[in-house]
Parts: sequence; C-alpha cells; structure tokens
Amino acid sequence: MVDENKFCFVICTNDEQQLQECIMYLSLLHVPEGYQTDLITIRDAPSMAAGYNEGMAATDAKYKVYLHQDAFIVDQFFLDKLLGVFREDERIGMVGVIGTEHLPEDGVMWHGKRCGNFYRLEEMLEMGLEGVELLSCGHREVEAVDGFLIATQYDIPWREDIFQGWDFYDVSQCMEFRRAGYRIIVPEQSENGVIHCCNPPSLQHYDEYREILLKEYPEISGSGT
Amino acid sequence: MRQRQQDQELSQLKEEINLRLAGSRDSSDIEELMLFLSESSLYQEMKRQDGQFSMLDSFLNIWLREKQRLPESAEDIFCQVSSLKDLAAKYRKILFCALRVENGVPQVYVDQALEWLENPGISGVAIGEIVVCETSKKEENLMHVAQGLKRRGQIPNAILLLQYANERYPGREKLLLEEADCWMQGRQWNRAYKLLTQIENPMAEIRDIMTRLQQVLENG
Repeated sequence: MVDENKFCFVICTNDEQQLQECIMYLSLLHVPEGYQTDLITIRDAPSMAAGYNEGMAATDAKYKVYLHQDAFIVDQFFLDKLLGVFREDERIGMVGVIGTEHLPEDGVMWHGKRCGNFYRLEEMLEMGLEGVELLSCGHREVEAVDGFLIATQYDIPWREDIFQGWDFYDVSQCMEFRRAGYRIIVPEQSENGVIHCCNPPSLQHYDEYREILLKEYPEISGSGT
Repeated sequence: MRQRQQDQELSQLKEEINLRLAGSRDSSDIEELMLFLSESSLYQEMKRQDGQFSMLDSFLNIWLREKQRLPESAEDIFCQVSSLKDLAAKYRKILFCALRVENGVPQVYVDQALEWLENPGISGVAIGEIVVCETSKKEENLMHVAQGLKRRGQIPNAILLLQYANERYPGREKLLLEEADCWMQGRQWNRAYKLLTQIENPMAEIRDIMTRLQQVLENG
C-alpha cells in the first residue's frame, strides 16, 4: 500500500563522511504539513540501479528522492516545491535538478544543451561557461536529467539487469519513464537548491554502458524512430 | 581498449602516490612527491579530471604556501595524511565546513564543523585556499570562519586565515579590522596598528582606536 503522504530519500553510499553530510542537510528540510519523510541508505550496492531497486522495494513512500551521497539539498523548501511540481500534472513522473531537452545522439547528456541550476552556475556562466541555461523561471520538460538527484512519484524498476555499474543508469531510467508515458521536468531554481560536491567520475566502463544504452534505447540515436 | 589501459595506469599511479604518502616523514618527501608528479604525464593530464588528484593538487599548493607562512616545526597539511583516502577526508572536513557557513546552516552545525578544523595540520592557510576555491561568497565566508575560530580560541589559526584573506583581498576594512582585533587580543599592539593604517578613510571610531594604540606604543 503506497503512503501518499510520505517522501523517501534513497541513497547508495560507500563513504560515511559524505553520507553524514548529506543527511545533515536532509534533516534541515521543511516537511510539508501532513507529510513524513523516510531515509533508506544502501551500503556498498553492487550497482546504482540495484541499490535503487532495493531502496524502492523497502519503502511505501509515494515520493522518492534518489540522491547521490555527495549531493546536498540546501533549499529548505525543496520538498514543498517538489510536491508543487508533482501536483501540477499527474503525468509528471520524474523531476531532476539539471537536464537536457534533447538528449544527444551519443546518449551523453553533457554533450548537449542543458538547463536547470547547480552550485555556482551563475559564477561559471559569468566566466563564460556555455551549454547550460540557468532556469530561473518556469519549468522545462526534458528528455533526461542528471542522476545526482532524481525524484519520482511513480515506481518503475531501475534496469539493474543491463546497467551493472555507475554510468547511464540515470539516462536509462529517464527513457523508461518516457516509454511509460510520463513527463520529466526540471523546475525553476532561481536560487541554487542542491550542491553536488561531485568527485569527477571514474570513466571506467563508461563507453561500455553508453553502448548498452544506445542498443537498449535506439530512439536516442534516432534509429528507433 | 585505450580506456582500460588508462584505468590500469591510473590505479598504478594512485598506488604509487599512496605508498609515497604512507612513507612521507618530512618536507623532502613531499618535495620528492611533487617532483615525481611533475614528471608524470598521466597525473598532469588527469589532475583536473580525477577527484583525488585535484584534491592532492590543492594540498600541494597549500603545502607550498604553508612553507612560506608556517614555522618549520608546525604541522602542515600533509600531517596525518597517509593515503589519498585520508587526504580526501581531510579536504572534505574543510570543504563541508565552508559549505555549511556559505549556506547558513544553524549555528550548532557550523560549530560542529569548526571543531573539525581543530584537527592537526589544518592551518588557516589551508582553510583560506579551500574556502576561496570552493565557495561563492568567498570574502564573507573567510570572515565568518575566522570569527568562528576566534570565538573558539583558535587565535593563531584565525590570524593565519585573515592574513591569507587580507593578501587575497587587500584593503578590505572588515577583514583588516578582524585581523587587527586578533592581534589586539594577543596584545600585539604594533601589528594591530599597522593593519589599521591600511584602512582607507577610517571612521572616527577606528581613528580613535588608532590614536589609543599609538599612545600605548609611544609609552612602551
């Protein structure tokens, strides 16, 4: 039985220091009246998709926020805003912080134009960063969002059968949601709400999973349309 | 194939760095590590892309600054760092403190993070470098952390941090006043006076303090 009034944060973790910092920020969030929150941490998951499936199965919360351990939600009213977006249209299945309206044919979100916000984006834009639009008003429908924060109001299994690592599980989940007919939204973020203290990722197996992605979802490269 | 080979080389390089960090005892070991890294094309290529390498690079810059600032016997940034994992944990102590300050979390959490900075080998220089590199409201955050250190009785480290800040942002009244206040707490009237003279068009209140300091100095 789904609890319509519950949010659950699902975090895969392998680093206690980062996890505790992430949880500290979660503890400061305002919880909308009548709602409760839950937290599920999956330690040393075999893959992100497997860990998220485990988390998904372990909670009855309607709203799930899949979060990297190094992503810190600093906007106190994040949950209120999230609820507002999901309530706007029941076809909205997924919300992210940064995304792309048109996923490039190679499946790499960062090769296309992105929108949303991230920590110090304004500063970087001033310094000449290109390819990212600061979304300070209005929501934007996108094809894919970055996996450091993915919020959902429906459950669709993560593809742990084919994504057994740490890459492209996010784009895959976006494709699954779109195949199921749901919309994916990046909401306005006039102020930066989430800090992603990301360590630059290991690119081991990156291409391997990119190829899997393109094979599984031919619509990305246009060959499936 | 090329990717796999590079991953393997990266792992080997990290193993080598870990060995060197585990065995480092004094400055000459860090100098040797720097030399080794300067000759590694892989390190040079990856130091902006790999998280552990970028933190190591930052530590090496901090270490060089510390050599100019800290007394020979002082614990430097590599104190109690025996691996890249230790290094990342130490880096994050400073980073997380800076982010807590920047994001205005409740004071109890700022205080908790300021306590992390009391660990061996976290100097005001290191704090300054990481605050400036990692946060947006740089000056404000430098000031806030320095005030926190001062409040916790960490005056020497607060001074180091403010010296860093005043070098980085010369002529800023608030930063100069804060450093002068630290020196006054240590009864270093001359140091305080010199700092106050750097303030352009000081307000009457500051001029008054300067006059009194001048009198103290003249009376020996």
